[in-house]
Amino acid sequence: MLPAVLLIAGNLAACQHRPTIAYPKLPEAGRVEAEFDCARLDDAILKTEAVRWVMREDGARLLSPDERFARTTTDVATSVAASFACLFCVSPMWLGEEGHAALDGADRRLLSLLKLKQDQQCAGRPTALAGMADLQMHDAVALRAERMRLLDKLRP
Amino acid sequence: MSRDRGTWRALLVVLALSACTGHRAVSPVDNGEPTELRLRAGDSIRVVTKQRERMSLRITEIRPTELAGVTVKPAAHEALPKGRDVMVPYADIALVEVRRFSAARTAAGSVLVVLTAAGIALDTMPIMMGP
Repeated sequence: MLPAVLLIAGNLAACQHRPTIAYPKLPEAGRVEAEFDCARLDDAILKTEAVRWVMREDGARLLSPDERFARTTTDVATSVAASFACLFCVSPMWLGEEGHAALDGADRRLLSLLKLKQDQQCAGRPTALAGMADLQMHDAVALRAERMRLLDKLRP
Repeated sequence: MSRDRGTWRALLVVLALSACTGHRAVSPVDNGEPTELRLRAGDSIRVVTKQRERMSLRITEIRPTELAGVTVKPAAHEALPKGRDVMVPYADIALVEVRRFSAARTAAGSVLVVLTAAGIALDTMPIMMGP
């Protein structure tokens, strides 16, 4: 019992994501974006980056598969406990996934737009990381943890 | 009769308390008016621009290339004070969220409230033992 309480309390304390606005669906770049010229691609990247910035300001972050599993398990456990306590009660302690899905969608859209820009041989734009342009950032993003850190610096 | 009136009043209160707004947000792909939201004068919206500016406003006019509106009480992370006239070019919009009354959510919320109240009532009802 005590480990379960500590797990729940720990996860509650760690929950940092507080959405302040509804997040839109951000699909990966497709046929519409493939027709964009370099200027429109840069514009689309700016817009997507602004939405991603809102998510990060709200505390959204990428979770590892283990972290996502732990949160889902905690949510199920608290819901079951609440159901036993009160037949029609809904658990108020739904942890969710810290905006992972929305942020992951934004990242994938950004990377797909950068890939299109690379394919069209557009000029790179500076980022907040000295010596790294946006097109180089696309190549550098390999690991999930690195991806969040690098894309936080996309805008100079 | 007075018992029926009391029941209807209670239901109306539940409905009023559970009145819900729906939020829809889009990130426009092109630089024109975000038609999928069917924005109109009087709508309350929140906007994030490409320049990372955030604002809440009530639309006063839908123009060919921009939205005109008046800012309302600023929400979290917003700097513009209430009552300022603003114009937001569609080309600048990175995210727009519109908030409208949702009949579906209100109905669902009312059902949830009634079920929860019924559950609590059942839990607290004294158990009558048979002979």
